[in-house]
Amino acid sequence: MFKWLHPYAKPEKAYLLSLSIFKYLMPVAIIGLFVGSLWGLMFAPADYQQGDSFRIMYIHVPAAIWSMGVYMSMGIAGFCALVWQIRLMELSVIAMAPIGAVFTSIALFTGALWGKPMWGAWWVWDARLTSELILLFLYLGVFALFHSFDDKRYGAKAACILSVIGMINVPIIHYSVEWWNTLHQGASITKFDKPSIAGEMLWPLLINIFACMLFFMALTAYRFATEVLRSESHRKWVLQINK
Amino acid sequence: MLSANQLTCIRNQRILFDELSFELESGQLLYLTGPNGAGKTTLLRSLVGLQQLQQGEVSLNGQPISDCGEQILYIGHKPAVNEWLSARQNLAHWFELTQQQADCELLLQKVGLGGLMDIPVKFLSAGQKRRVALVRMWQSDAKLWVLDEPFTSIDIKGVEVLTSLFEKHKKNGGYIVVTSHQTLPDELVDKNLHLTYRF
Amino acid sequence: MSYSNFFYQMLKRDLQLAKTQKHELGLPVLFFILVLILFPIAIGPEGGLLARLAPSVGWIAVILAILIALPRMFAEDYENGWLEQLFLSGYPGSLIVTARLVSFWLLYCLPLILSSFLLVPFFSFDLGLWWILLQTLICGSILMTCLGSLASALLVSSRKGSGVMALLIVPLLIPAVIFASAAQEAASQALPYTSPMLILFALAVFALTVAPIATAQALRLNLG
Repeated sequence: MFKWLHPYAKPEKAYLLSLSIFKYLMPVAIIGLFVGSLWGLMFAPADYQQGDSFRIMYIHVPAAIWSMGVYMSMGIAGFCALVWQIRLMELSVIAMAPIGAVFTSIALFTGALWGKPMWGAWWVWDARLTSELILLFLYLGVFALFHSFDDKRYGAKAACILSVIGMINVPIIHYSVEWWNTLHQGASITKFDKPSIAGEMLWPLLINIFACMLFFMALTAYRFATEVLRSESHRKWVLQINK
Repeated sequence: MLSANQLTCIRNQRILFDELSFELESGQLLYLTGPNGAGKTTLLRSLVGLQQLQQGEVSLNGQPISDCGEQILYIGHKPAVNEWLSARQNLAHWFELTQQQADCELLLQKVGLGGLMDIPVKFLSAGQKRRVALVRMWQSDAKLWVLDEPFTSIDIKGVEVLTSLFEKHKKNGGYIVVTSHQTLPDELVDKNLHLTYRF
Repeated sequence: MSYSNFFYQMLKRDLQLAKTQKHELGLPVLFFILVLILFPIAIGPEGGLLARLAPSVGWIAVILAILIALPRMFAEDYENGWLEQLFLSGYPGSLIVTARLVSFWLLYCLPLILSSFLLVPFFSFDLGLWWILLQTLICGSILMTCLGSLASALLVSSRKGSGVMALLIVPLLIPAVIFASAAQEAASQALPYTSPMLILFALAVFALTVAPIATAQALRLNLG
C-alpha cells in the first residue's frame, strides 16, 4: 500500500489529487445535503411529541457528529505527521481545524435553537452541550496556536502536537462531563439497538450525515490544496500554475 | 572528518541553502562568509543538529551528529549565560553540564574578569558578557567547535587571544567552523564557504 | 555524569536562580490572595454561601495564578540560549523537562497550594474539608504544571502572552475541575470521595508520564 501511496507524498501530486477530490466530491455533497435537507424539512412526518421543531435535527445531528469526527481525523493526521514526519500531513491538520470549528459552532447554535422550545432554555449545563463547548475551544486553541507563529511550518507542527494531546483528552473530557446529571435525550441511533426513530424520519438524517462527511472531505481537500500552494510558493510547479 | 551531505533548508518559505555539501579534515578551519540573512547562523545550527533540515545529514567521523553531543562546542548568538547568576556560577554550571573538571577562578582571571567573578552578569559590559561565554574555549574537550560571530564586541587584544586559541585547537586535530564579519588571518583559514542571499 | 546526577544539577541551578529573583516567586501567591479577596467583596460577606463556594474559588484562583506563572517556565533559558546547550549536551529531552517540572512545582505551585489555607479564615471554610481541598489541589497542580509545560514550550518562541496559553490549557483542565468538585461535594455530604480522588490522581500520573515527552518535542521544535 505504501508503494502505491508514496507518489502522493509529493506536494505537486497531492495538490492535483486533492483538487480532483474536491471536484468530484463537492457536487455529490451539495446534492446530498440538498436532498436530505429538503426531504427532512419538508416531507418527513412530524414528530408526535415535538411537532415540527424536531426538524432542526437534520442539521444539528450531522454537524454534531462530524464536529467530533473531524477532531478525531485531525488528531490522527497530527499523530501521523509527528511520527512519520510527513510535512503534508501537518498541512492537513491546519486544513481541518476551522472546518471542525464551524461544525461545532453550527451544532451549538442549532442545539440552542432546539433547546428553547424543548427545555425552555437556550442553554443548559448538560453533559453533551458542555463537551461540545469544550470541543469548540480545543479547535480554537489549535487554530490560535498555528497563527501565533510567523513561520507557518513551526506553527503547523505545534498545532499537530496540540491536536494529538487534545485527541487523548477528548474521551476523558467526554466521560468526565457525563459525570453530571444528563438532561439531554438519549441517543436515538446506535449501531446495536434497533433505531427508535421511524424510517421515514431516519433516511433523510442518514443522507445528511453522509453528505456532511463528503462536504467536510471536499472542503478539507480544497483548503489542503491551498495550504500546499502557500507552503510551496517558491517552487517551480507552483509558479507554473500561477501563470 | 566532518562531512555535510546535501543540506537543504527552507525557512519562512525561502530557500537558505540547497543541496550544500562539504567536508572538513581534522585540524582544519572552515570560514563561513555571506551577507546578512544568507543563512550562516542556520547552517551552523544545522551542523550541530539544532536546526531541523528538509534534507541532508551531517556526520562527524562517520557518526551522525545527533550522537556526538559531548564532542561539540557551540557558541551562538545567545551566550547561554544567565544574567542573574554570577560569572563564576555560570561557568560552574557549564562545566557540570559538560562533565569537565576546571578551575573556574583561574579561567576567569585569564580572560580578565578577575575582580568581577561574583557579581551578577547583567552588571557587566557587553564585551565582558561575551567573555563569560567564550571562556568555554579555554577548557574544552570538544573536537568540533562551531562559533557564530565569536569576535562580536571583543577588543583587539581579545581577538588575538582567540586566534591563538584557534591555532592551538587546530594543532590538536580539532575542527573549527566559524562565521565572522571581521576577516580572519589567511594562514588560519583552510577552507572558505560563501553563502549568497537568495530570494 | 549519571542521569540522576544531571537531574540534581538541573534542580540545583533552578533553585539557585530562584534565590536571585525572590520577588518573581511571590507574585503568583499575591495574585492568588487578591483573587480570593475579590470573591467575598463581590458576593457579600455571608458566611454559609462563602463556605460553600470556598473550594471552587480556591481552584479557580490556583488555575489563574499558575497561568500567570507559566510563561516564565522556559522563557528565560530559551532567550539566553541555555536551553539549546542543554539539548546539545546529549541528555534526553524528557529528563531536562522533568527537572524543570519538579522545580516549577516546588517553586510556584507548592506555595499556592499551601496558601489555600487562607480559605479557612476568609471563607469560614471547614478545616476537615480544606484537608480534602489540599489533596485535590496537589493532584490538580501537578496536572496543571504538566499541561502548562507543554503550552509554554509550544509558545516559547512566539512571544504571545498568557491569552493563548489560557486557550490551550483551560479546556484540557476541565476534567480535573469536575472530579475535584465531585470529590469536594461528596466530602461535604460526608459521603466517600475516594473514586473521584483516585481518578484525579490517575490523571495527574498520566499527565506526568506524557508531558515530558511531548514538551521535549515541542521545545526541540522551537529551537529550530
